[in-house]
Amino acid sequence: MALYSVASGQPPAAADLNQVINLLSGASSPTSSSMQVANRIRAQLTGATATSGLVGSTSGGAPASGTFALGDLVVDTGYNCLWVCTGAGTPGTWKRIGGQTWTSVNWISTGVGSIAFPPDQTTGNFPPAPTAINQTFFTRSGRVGFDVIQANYQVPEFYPYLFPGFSDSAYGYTIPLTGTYLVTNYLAPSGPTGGTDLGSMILKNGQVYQYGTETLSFGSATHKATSIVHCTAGDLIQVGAYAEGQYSPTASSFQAGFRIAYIGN
Amino acid sequence: MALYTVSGGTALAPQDINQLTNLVTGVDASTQVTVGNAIQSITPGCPAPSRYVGGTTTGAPSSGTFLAGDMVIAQDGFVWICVTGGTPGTWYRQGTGDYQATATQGVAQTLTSRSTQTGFDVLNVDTVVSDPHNMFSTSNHRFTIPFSGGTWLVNATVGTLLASTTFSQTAILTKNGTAFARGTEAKVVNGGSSIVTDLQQFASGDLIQLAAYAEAAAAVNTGAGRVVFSLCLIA
Repeated sequence: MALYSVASGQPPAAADLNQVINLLSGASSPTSSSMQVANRIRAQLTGATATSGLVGSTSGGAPASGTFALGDLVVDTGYNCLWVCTGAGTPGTWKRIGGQTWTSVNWISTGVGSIAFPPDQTTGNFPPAPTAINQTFFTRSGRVGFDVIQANYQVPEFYPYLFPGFSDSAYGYTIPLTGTYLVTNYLAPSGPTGGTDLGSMILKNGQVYQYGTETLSFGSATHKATSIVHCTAGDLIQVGAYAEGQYSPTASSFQAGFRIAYIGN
Repeated sequence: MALYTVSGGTALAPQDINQLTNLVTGVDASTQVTVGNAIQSITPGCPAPSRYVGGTTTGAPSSGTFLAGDMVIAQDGFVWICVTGGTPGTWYRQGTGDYQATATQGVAQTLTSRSTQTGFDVLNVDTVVSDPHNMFSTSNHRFTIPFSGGTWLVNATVGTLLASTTFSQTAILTKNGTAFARGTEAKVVNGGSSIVTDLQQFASGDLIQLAAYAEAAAAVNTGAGRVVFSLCLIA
């Protein structure tokens, strides 16, 4: 049963005190009252040599207000993770532990035709394919310039952790939470016919962050980029291409995949 | 307000009891609970006991006796879970603690022309992009792994330039001077870009560098995004 207060003016009985002792010692049935503290709970077993504390929960990020101490631990029911305070203050500095790893794939298929899903997506149930985009890659040289891949469709993955922040008009993801992300992309053209240099890259806020492979393309070559990107909330992540020779794909002649996942602080 | 003790010989008053009741029901928001031992919880659906036992400045406890299911909060941003009871027991780390870093190259460098997939040049990576734990040395062009255990993701791009020449090249990752991962080796025309990615469990003090193999004396391309060398703790 729930704990009760002793009425003012009433002499306390042994049971009044024992209800609290039983709660703290575990003598009460597990189905009776839980303990709730509206401040911080600290344990200090020998060998655990520094202070820490359980301080409650948030929904969607580390605490944004309040004063916290080194080692405070918060449960985040919005990002499904934990936060540890690594710098005391108001609200202090926090590092994230675990939680859902958003992951998603962006998809583009140029030319007039239906969207072709990646091979591992063929058995899934996906929303109707969007309108395909015709995109022309401009002639470049001297390793200068790029075209933003017009990724226009976010394909749901196998789990319902769809990455937030995708814009099919911005062709990319706006980062929701400061941290480290793994970004991959591939470009799979059918043509050009050979001897043309083609490269893929990861873009951050409209600038080249990291190139992937840039090699000779002989017909249907695939170009890959992978990047570990430390992002700040609000950063825009896109993928791009560099092509030495104008390349205007015909129907269903170009495919690109673009994946991003949160992997840590 | 802080808890008070009742003086010996004094009759208990309701507030003596209620200060405790208010504390453990959340009515009193001003008082912190500190237990000089462990706090154990067990509820229906979670049949095995687990204990919150306190904190460390860094790392798992190195002394003291603990039980399986014990949890320690480290002030450097990790949580440690005891999986085998003992003194001090066996512990697993949770979290990545912002152990990530990225560096690029801004200085010119010419690669050695090589053949038969033998040898490599260490790149003179010299510019930090992100490195909150100071793992990278710009003068030595390398990351130093700060602790043993854990799985690290390592990723890099090597870009080159060499006019009017088609040649083969690849990116290589080294540990303590020895290659441990090679990327795809492919032909590039007038230079190009190669990538390498690997997962490793490093030991504390391991030195990680980026290198390249090229079958021509190509120049390292120091343009934006052309040499990027990153690693991060992922588990």
